[in-house]
Amino acid sequence: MTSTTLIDRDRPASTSPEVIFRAENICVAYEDIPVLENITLDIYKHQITGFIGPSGCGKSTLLRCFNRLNELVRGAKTTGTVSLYDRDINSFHPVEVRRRIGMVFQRPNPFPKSVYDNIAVGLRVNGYRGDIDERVETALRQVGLWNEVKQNLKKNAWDLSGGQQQRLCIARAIALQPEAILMDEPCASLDPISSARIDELLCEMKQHYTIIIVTHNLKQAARITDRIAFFNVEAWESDDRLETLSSLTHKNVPLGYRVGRLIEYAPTVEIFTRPQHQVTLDYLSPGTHQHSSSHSRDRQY
Amino acid sequence: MTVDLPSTNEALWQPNRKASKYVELAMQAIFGLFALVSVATTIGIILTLIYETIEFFQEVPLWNFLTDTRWTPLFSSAQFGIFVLISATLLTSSIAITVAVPLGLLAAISLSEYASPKVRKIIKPALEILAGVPSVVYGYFALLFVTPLLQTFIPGLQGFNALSAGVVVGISITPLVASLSEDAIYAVPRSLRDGSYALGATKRETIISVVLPAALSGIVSSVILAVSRAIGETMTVTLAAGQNPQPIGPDLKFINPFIPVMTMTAFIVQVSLGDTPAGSLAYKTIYAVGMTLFLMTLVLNIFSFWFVRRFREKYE
Ligand SMILES: Nc1ncnc2c1ncn2[C@@H]1O[C@H](COP(=O)(O)OP(=O)(O)OP(=O)(O)O)[C@@H](O)[C@H]1O
Ligand SMILES: [Mg+2]
Repeated sequence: MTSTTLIDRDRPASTSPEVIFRAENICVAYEDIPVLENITLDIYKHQITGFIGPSGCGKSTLLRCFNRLNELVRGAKTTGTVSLYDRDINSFHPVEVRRRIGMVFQRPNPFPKSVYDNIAVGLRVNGYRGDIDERVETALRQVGLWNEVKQNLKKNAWDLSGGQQQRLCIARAIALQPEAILMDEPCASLDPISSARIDELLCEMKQHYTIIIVTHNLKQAARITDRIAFFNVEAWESDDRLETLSSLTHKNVPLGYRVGRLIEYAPTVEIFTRPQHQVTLDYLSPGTHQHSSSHSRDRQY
Repeated sequence: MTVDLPSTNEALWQPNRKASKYVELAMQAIFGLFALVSVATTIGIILTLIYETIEFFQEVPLWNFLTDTRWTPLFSSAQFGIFVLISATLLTSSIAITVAVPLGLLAAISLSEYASPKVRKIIKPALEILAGVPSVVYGYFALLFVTPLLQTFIPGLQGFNALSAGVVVGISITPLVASLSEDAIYAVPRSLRDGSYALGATKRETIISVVLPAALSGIVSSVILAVSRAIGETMTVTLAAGQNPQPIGPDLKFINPFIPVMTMTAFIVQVSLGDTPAGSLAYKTIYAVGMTLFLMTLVLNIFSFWFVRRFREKYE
């Protein structure tokens, strides 16, 4: 199945929501080793889009293409285009792109500063003219951290617990009121309660923000996302695929080399109830490998 | 998938416990001995310092040591105003630090943040070699090159002066500041930089508001180490700054960088070069001055230790 038909199938016929990001033919290589091949997908405004897939298939890599963070990685090479409202993000100043598109990382990375400064620093570098105190408080309230830290906003952020740190990082991102937020497994280090709190927050934020979230937690994906993109690492077999990557790498990449690909992209309900591919089904219901082929046929009706 | 079973064949696993026990003991003894030697040496030095210093203060009251305005220990009307020497040492050291900190920090930032890995790989060891140039070389460099050069801009500059000695000491400790600060800056994890870029900060903003604060404790301890070096620096200041203790007085000669001064280390060299009989007052004076130097660097090191603890920054 080619990528164009993928999109045609997935795009709702009527009342189609506005497209905010359009990624076309994204290929990424690290030090001449390709890790992502020909990713094409649309991200819709005010939706939560989930990226799922096995470890190492390039979800974080793709996420970093949306705010041009990959270009700061030494040895990374990206081809293809990402557009934000039909404008190529490479035509923006990278700083502008990153202000408009927030990001939360896989591992909490608060700055070794006070809780207050962690949020204020982003406001200051972006020349925020309003009341910084007020924005700090609002952002902390939104992530449910305010009551835990209001006594001591001068506390070093590194003395917070891992879950508190991650919520601080989310607060730091939303304090800038971005149009979209990229989240790389934001709940991986959180306890179930904070995690549920974040899920709730994400669903509330959906009214105003576009969210792309990478997650290994299928329950979370099912609960909060509107659409899901499933990625997998696959060997590439045919020579024409190699051609698309020839611009990326000088090395002769052997056939059978494993690279990340977009397998399936559809509304969440469809992915969970009627996956079109065997690999998707295997990923969504692990441990049923032996029976999975008959299983999937059972599921068809 | 098959799972490895717990081991049942005892014959395959026969560690030599007995021999390794003796080796273990021998190693412990050898390491303990070396540790003991170095600790004992240090304690010996400190005890000698304390002993001779006490002897000194039996002949010269502490009050005079602290309040005399001249340093004339070898004259018949001897005066022991230690602040004459301290002020000279502080003068050359502060000039040195004024040179070394901005130079070293800028070098460290450009090396870790802007240089390509290739350039960094070449420059970093080069810096460390520069730190190993003998200080007597720097001394002659100050005396025969920097002083004449500065004299073309500053007419009143004398042949021996604190300024060129300080500048050259500064140059000589710049690699130390640069190398240690670079380590600290380079060790700031990628994730923090990424976090800052993701907030829309530029490279400059990232360096100033995230990277440098995160590396602060390492930078400060490198600066403090450099200050200790500058205070203890001997050959350069002896050769280039002169041997003239300037009396403390309202004419402010003791902090005039354009005239010859005598630092604490220069005094110790001066007395050691002459044949001073052990047990004489001049001999004990060396120890009193040495003790003062020791206390100054000790305070600096304690401060550095406290600072690093206080602003401890461990990256997981
Ligand atoms: N900086 C880098 N340099 C070289 N290779 C990299 C780099 N970052 C990622 N890779 C490689 O790219 C591939 C995709 O990595 P990526 O982090 O995007 O995976 P992921 O899908 O996010 O995995 P996970 O679910 O474990 O987070 C991996 O094979 C990884 O080894
Ligand atoms: Mg990842």
